Amino acid sequence: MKKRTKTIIAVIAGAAILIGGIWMINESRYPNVPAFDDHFTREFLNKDKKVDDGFYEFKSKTGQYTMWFPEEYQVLHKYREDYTRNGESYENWSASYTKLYKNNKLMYSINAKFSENDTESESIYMESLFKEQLDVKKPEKLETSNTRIYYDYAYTYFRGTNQHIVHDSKKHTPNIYVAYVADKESDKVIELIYDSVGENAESNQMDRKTWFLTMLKSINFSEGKSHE
Amino acid sequence: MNEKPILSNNIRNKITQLEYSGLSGKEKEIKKIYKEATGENPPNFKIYTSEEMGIGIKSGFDGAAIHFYDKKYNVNEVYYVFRGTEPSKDFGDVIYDALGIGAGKNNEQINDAEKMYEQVETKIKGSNGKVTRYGDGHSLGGHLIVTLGLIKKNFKDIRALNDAPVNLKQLERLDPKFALYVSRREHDKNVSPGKLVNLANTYYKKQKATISHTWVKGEPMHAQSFPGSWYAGNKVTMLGDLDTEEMINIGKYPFQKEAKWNPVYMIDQFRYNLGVKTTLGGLGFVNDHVKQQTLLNLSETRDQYLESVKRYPFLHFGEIKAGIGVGAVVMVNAFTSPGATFQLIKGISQSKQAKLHGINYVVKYTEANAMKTYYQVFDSGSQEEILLEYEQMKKFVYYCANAIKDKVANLNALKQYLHSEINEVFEAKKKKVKMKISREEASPQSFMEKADKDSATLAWFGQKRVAEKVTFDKTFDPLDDSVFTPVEEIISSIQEEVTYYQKFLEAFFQNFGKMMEADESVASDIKSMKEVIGRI
Amino acid sequence: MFDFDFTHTGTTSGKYTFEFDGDDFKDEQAKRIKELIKKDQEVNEKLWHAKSYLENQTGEFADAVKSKLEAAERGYTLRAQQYDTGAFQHIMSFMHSVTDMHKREYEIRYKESMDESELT
Repeated sequence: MKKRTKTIIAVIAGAAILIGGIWMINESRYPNVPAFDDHFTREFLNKDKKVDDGFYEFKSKTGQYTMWFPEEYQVLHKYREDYTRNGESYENWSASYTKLYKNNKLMYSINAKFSENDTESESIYMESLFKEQLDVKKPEKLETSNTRIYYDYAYTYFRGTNQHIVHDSKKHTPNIYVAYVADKESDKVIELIYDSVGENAESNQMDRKTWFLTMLKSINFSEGKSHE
Repeated sequence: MNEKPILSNNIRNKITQLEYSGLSGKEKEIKKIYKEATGENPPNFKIYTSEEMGIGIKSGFDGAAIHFYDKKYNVNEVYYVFRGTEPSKDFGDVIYDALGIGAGKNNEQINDAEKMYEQVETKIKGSNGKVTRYGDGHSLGGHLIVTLGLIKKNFKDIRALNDAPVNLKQLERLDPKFALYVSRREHDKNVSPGKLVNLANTYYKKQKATISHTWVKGEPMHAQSFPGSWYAGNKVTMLGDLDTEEMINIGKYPFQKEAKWNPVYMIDQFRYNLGVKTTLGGLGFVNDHVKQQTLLNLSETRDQYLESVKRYPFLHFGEIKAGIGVGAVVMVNAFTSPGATFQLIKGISQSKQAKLHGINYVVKYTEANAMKTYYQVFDSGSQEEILLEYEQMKKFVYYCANAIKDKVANLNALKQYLHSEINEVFEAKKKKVKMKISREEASPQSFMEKADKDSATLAWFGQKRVAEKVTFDKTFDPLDDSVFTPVEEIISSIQEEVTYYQKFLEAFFQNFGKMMEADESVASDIKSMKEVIGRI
Repeated sequence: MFDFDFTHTGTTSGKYTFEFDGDDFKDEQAKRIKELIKKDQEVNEKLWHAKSYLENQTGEFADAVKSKLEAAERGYTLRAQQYDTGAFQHIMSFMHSVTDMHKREYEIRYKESMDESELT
């Protein structure tokens, strides 16, 4: 009896060590960046596809698009409302990244909303986005071979519940960037908003703009059923 | 622009009801509804539907907008009307859909609502002058229209009927401006729903004032406490038979301080105060007519829960295993996985009262004017939001004002007594005495005989006295001060009381007015009340 | 013989009390002032009853309003006593004043004579 018990314990212990070891090894196969540290974010990313310095390829769970995802960020999922998806037609995710700078907490966030907006009404939806978020009528526009990209940015702050938006980037470094990216071949659209919180959160305007545009230009919509 | 909407609440309810069969091509029906209610033809209008726009196919969103536009008569109003789940489904299915609030499909519905809104707004932009926006939604449609109103921030008023609440976390994710406000204030992207309530109440203060909820007493939806739910708005109108008991709440019972699932605001407590029956994990701990004190006194209700655990341990097995604090999480997880609560959902849907959720009851009771209105206002005393029964407050004010008026009138009567009556009585008595004096003076002999018998007849030497003249002292002293002083003191004391009550009413008005100032129609109502009462 | 003049005039004075029912007067006046005081009390009761409109009202504001009314109600007991006492004092004083008013001083001028025929 005693010997049997000892064996059982030994087997269980061994198995535990083995499982633990496999787990650890498994973990170490992942890149050592915040995006992969988080199990939920990991599900979207391809660990073998570091597409650029600081980005990994992100594949939407709708299967409708891929884009470059900044490695310091993690997709929010503490509450069920943080990440939502409806089949292949809608997806809403947010990601954030915080760091300490001289005892100040700096917070960076991205919110992405994927949906299908009929192309004929593109100007309606696009203009409404920029009017509401940045109080701007005509954003900047650029094109890639697959997408039309509208974007703009500004500096914003709150006085109580009143939001103030400053467009002159010479006066203030922008801390909110908004984009509307439309697929040339279908009705697929992504609305992307980036913002930062904290003094000195934005160190270099040009770098930030470049970084933002990099993400936008990386958006690639999948082919296939798009019109109903 | 007119102050009041051209469509009354009755008409709006009926149009919301009509929307369930779609509003496409329903111009005749809408004209009929309007004419029956007002006796006139409506101004020119155009109907826009999500169906016609090809919006909502994948999400199931179904909404319409009616734009009333008549340049000549200065009419420019648009009514957005959103419907909820298929009316043919029973309430169990409605709840099942409601459990999906905050999930992908529902988010896409809100996205589609925004798209429809943007399309409609573009189409009606050509109209002259500023357009006034109104919104109506029943059940899940109520949740949609309120959420849309909060995001767009430019509706004049929104009426949510037997509505499912807003989901705070969902709102944070769908309104980027709110999310921005939250992250700037909290430096946190994972703010709990409990904390979000406070932030939402501040951030959406203006929009809140435009939102009202209309609930049929006893209908099941508003009795549920979905996680992170928020009934945004300042006004609740209860319809129907106010003695009807409220329905079972399949959500979390808010007795644990740690539980942040239920908003702390009074509008939620109010729902419980109406006598909401609650169940714990859907397994039978039912609390009939929980008193407000019980609910607010969390430790007391905790004891009740512990009692139930002791008596029916098998009902709480899961929680006991996990420890009571964690048990809350377990129950919530059970709640958010619809399958686990399906039995209970069925129980609710089979209840006779579930039918009260239907739009027909909203229409019926509004028409019958069977209603009571409550306003959620900021209580100056406790510095918290409270639910004010406006009509009762009004009655209170009029009642007090009338009583004070009576008191002042009576006080004046007393003053009259003091300054005139006393002297009048005295003068009257004086006059009588003077008359009597005259009479006596006219017959001195008979007077002497009765007044001074002894001196009238002097038997001494047989002499007799004959009165020639009698003169009375006709100087009358005035009434002594001691007659007046006590009355003066009484008057002075009553005057003190009057001043006390007048000041009391004044202070009441100030506070009452301040509490209601967010609601324009009420604020002006109070103003005219003041004028009627004639104070200040 | 001696011609004695036994006719002479004189005066006599005194105080005469005209008939007056003091108790009757007292009761009547008491009725009057007590009626006025009672009316005031009734109005007060009406005011205190106002709190019933706030029965279902929550919040500290409503509570403060109710307690103000309750404080007035409590304070009234003392006032009511004072009114009773004051009314009594007023009545008694009034009655005494009016009663006194009925006691008038008089002076009679008379003629006296032995001979009745002298007296007319």
